[in-house]
Parts: sequence; C-alpha cells; structure tokens
Amino acid sequence: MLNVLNLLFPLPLKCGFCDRREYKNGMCKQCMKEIEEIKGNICERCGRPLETMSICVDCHRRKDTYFVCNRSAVRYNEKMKSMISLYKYRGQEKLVLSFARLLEQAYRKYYNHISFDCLTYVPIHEQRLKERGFNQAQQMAFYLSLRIKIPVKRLLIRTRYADKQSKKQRQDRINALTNSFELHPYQAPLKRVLLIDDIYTTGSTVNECAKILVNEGIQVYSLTVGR
Amino acid sequence: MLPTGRVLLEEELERIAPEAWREEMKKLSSRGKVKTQPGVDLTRRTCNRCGGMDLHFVDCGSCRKECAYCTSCLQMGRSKTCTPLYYIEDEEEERTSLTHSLLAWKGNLTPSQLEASDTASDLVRKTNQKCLIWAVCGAGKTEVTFKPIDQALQLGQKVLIATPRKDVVLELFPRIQQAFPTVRVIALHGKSAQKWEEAQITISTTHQVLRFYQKFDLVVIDEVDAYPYHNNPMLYFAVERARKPSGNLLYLSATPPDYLRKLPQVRIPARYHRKPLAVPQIVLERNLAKRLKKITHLDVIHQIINYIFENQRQGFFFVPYIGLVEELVNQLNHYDEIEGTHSRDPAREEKVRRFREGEIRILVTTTILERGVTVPKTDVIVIQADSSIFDEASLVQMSGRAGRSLLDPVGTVVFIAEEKTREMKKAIKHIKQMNKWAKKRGLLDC
Repeated sequence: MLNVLNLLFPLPLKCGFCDRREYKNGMCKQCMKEIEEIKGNICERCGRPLETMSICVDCHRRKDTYFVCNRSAVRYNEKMKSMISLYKYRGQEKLVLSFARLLEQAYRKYYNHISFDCLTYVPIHEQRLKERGFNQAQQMAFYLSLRIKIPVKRLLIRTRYADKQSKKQRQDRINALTNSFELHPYQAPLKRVLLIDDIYTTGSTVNECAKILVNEGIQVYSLTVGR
Repeated sequence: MLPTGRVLLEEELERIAPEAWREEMKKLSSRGKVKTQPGVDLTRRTCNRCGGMDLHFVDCGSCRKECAYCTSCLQMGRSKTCTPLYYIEDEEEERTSLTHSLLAWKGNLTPSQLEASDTASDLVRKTNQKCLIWAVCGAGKTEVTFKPIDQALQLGQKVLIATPRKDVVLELFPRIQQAFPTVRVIALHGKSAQKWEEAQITISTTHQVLRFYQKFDLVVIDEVDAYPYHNNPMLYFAVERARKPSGNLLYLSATPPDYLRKLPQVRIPARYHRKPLAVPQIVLERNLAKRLKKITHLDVIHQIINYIFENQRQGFFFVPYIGLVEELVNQLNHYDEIEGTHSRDPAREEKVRRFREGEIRILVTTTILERGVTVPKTDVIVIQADSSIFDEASLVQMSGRAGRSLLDPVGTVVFIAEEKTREMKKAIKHIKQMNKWAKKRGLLDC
C-alpha cells in the first residue's frame, strides 16, 4: 500500500548532505549557498580563479606540463571539503549525482566546443578499490557520461599502492606519484580525451596521468569538481 | 578486551583493537558469545544495524556482488551487505544488591511528581514492563526518574538514559552525576571519548544506542519525539535491542505520539508553580507570507515587539524555516536586541547564552530551540504556525517555552497564521486538556 501511495505522491528527494528537501543538483538550498562556483577570470592552464586571464605561479613553476588544460567546477572550500570527505571516506555514494551535475555545468561552460573521443578517469589501486568499494573518479565519469553522451573508457591502471594523497605535503605529493600509473590496453586510435577527477590541488595526479597518455599521442584535457 | 553487549561493524572493532580484535572474536565465538549477520539484509531490504530501509544500491568494488549500503546510519560507519555485523553478548556479572540508597539529591517532589516517581519505581522491580510519564513542559521530568534509577542501581542493574539530541545528553550528564555522586556515569554522543567504556548509568544519543546489544535492565527515554526524530523508528529499534529481554522501559514526554498514549501511564498535568499553561491565541493575517517580506505592513509584530520591550520581557519568535530567520532579522535590524539563530548558525550557542542572560531580548529561531531553553519572563510567538512542519507536538513544545518560572508563571503564546490548521487546533486542545486534568486533580491554585 505504501508503495502505491509513494507512486501517487512521491516523497520529495532529499539533499544527500543534510536530509533537507532537495532544491537543485541533489542538494538543498542551504548547501547550494555554501558552494562557490568558479566564475570569471581563471588561470588558462589549471582553471584556478585569478584577477586576470593569465597563467598562475604554480603552472609557471611546473617543469613539464603534459595536459592541455584543466577546468574545475567549484572552489575547494570548507563545504566542498566536507562533502568530498563524506563521499569518499564515509561512503555516501549517492552524492556522486550532485558532483556529476557540477561537472556537467563546468563541461558545458568550458568544453562544449571541443570534441572528445571519450572520457577517462584517474584510477585507484585494486587494493584501495577493495577497501573503499568504489572509485570516485570512475563513478563521476560514469554519471557525467550519461548526461553528456560521451563514452567512458578505462585507459590507465594504478600500479603503486601509496598513502592517501590528502595526507601529504606539496613536494611529497609530486614525488610519490612518479611511475604509479600504467597504460591499460585500449582499442582504436584516440585523439583527444577528457580526464575526470574529484579534486585538483597541485595538479600532480592529472599531470602524471597525462604523461602516460601523451606518450600514446593522445591530447589530455581534464575536468575536476574542486579547485 | 572487547566491550561486551554490543553490536559492532568491522571498522568499529578495528578502531577499538586494531588487528587484535580478530583473535578476541575467535575466543568469544568459541564460547558461543558472538553471532554475525550482514550489515544490510537484502531480502528484507532493511539495515540490520539501525532498522532503516533507506538503502542505496551500489556497484560494490569490495564484494563484486549485489550490494547496498544504509544511508540512515552512515555517520556511524558504513553498514553494507558485504560487511558483517557482530552481535557480542553481554557478560553476566554477579549481581550484588545494595541495601542503601545511592541518591544524593535532596530536593522535594510535588505530589503528582511523587506519584509518577513511585509508579516508575514499582516498575523496576518487575520485568519487561513499559510505562509512559506524560508530563507538561517544565514539570520536572528528570527529577521523577531519580528514584526509579536509584531502585535499579540498588538491584545491581545497568541503566540507560536515551535521548535523540546531543544537547540534552550534555545537559543531563552533570545533573545525573550530581544526583548519584558515587556511581559511574558516562555520556555518549558522536564526539564522546567514552564510547567503549562500561558504566552503571549510560546517557546516550539515539545513534550511540545503536551500538548496544541486550545490555540494560532499565531504559529511560527522554523527549522521545524531539524534533529531528519524531516519527523516526530508529530510536525505538535501537532501544528495543539495547535492553535485555527482561528489561524495563520508561518513556518521558510532554507530547507523546498516539502509539505511546496507549501504554500504561502517569500524568503530571501541572507545573510545580501550580499555575495553568498558557493557552495559545490565534491571530489570523491575510497574505501572511507576502507581508512577512515587508514587515512594516504587519502591525501585529510591531505591537508584540513594543509590548515585550516596554514590559522588560523576552520573546521567542519561532519561524518554520531557516531562510525566514535571516529575512526577519534583517528587517528588524534597527532593534539592537533582536537576533536570529538556526541549526546552521556557528554562533548559536553563544547567542543562546546571551539570550539566557537577557542581553538579547528577542530571539528569532527555527524549531531547533523548541525544547530545552528555559528563560524567565518569556513570551512565545509562532510565525506561520500553519506551516506544515509545525505539528501538534512541536506547537505544544514551543508554547511550553512560556511561563516557566515562578516570577512569571503564565506568559503569552501567540500563533500568527493565515488559516487555522488541524494541528493548531489539536495543539490548543492538548494544552486545554492538560489544564483541565490539572484542575480536576486540584493541582492548580486559580
């Protein structure tokens, strides 16, 4: 009986973050308010908000940049930090829908004119996948692909099981990643792919992944939720 | 040593005794003290840990099979189909009955409190009993539980005081510890460091109760229907599992839901100062939602504010949602002594403290403050009382904020609404009924 009533009068969807009524993107009004969308001038390379359109210090300092550019949907502020950790570490997987919506908005804003052969994602180690139960970047890429109708392909494998990136300092992060990715066999020549990840902090993860793919003659653009 | 009488997930065990727990668990299971179940039961579509049915089906990378996790109890660690849930039986200890009381509280109970207290104490000597103490807001419910708890402790029993809200746990802890100075009391909530300790009296939030398994002989449930949890079956599920099969249950509430009203009960329909409860007055305003956006068009609010300021009183303005708190405070910012607060306000505790000290005269708030905060000489104004989130229980609770002290025993309660809803009528009927019962039993002075 309950099921019939639910069909006739569906319960309002809930905000994945705080149980209030959903307003937009699987979030409630209050949570939406605390999210800062990235708008206006950004670093042409990494998508960081800047005063003027130019290249930021970090991108200048990086020796070899393999990816074409990165764009991010929202600022990685306190709210975003807690949302990502609720999703990744606590395992509130239904939040992925909200993140995919944010990615979609950013995709439409920055990448609408570029044609990608496929989407791909930053892989996690088999062992980590077993512990966590899911790969956040893969889930985001999957739900994004449903919205923008571009297939997802697995192009990379993570070969090194390292401590979590979020627990390290800048230089350690960059060092810890070298040689931790390998190419996964794929079909058909690919020209341009869009790499999906959850957060862009120093850009080292994206850069390492791009390095492998560039060797294969693939252009790599990246899209992340937080910056 | 693993804690006993618990229901725990692997990740919780890992936190208590990293790696070592597996050995301990083997020892316990060889003695038949442990049973396991999957965290989420897929055939019944229920979470075994919290009884919730709000599951999220996932493509699980750990078990690579059909899998789901429970979204209701996620904050306590993920309960999944592929993670086992361990039920560890309680160690039966030798029970030593005491002959002397452990209660150090020396206050006096009113005759109706005494009656409730005695009924509840009788309960403790029996097994598997349930009882409701239905007491109006401000009747002194906590004091009523002292004697039954004392009785239980004398029989060597373990006592659990469960309540949905952390604020209430923090407020109860010092009061209970003072009343029983020689007894070990612990307070459990999300950030508590005492989670795995043993005690004679455990004060806990709903979520922490989920971690107990047939451990307590007496369970006292305070404020069963407090805001985020009314109509939420989780507390009942948790409490049923946390008590021993022979354990007794004592519900305390000012606004018991219908299914509790069927239980054997004792009522305390009047406050200790022997004055009736303030009956809400309804003020109907046309186009209220629109006129609240431009409050200068709403005379009644200004009249009330003037009345409060002139008579040196304080006021609670309850509104149905957070956005309206900010809207109202912005429009009233020419008054320095009006502030607003809500669940998301980082300065909430500080504002409540300033309101208690009388620095803030009018506090605009959502249902978050419907219980607990007691300030002398207050009036209560519920704006948009016809909103669907205000039900009978919360309207009665909010009305109960008025007239709590001896100096100003009645107070004024006003519901401002566009129309009279059924819930508003029920709330007024409820308050009138309480006053009637009190009068009949001679508990009122007027």
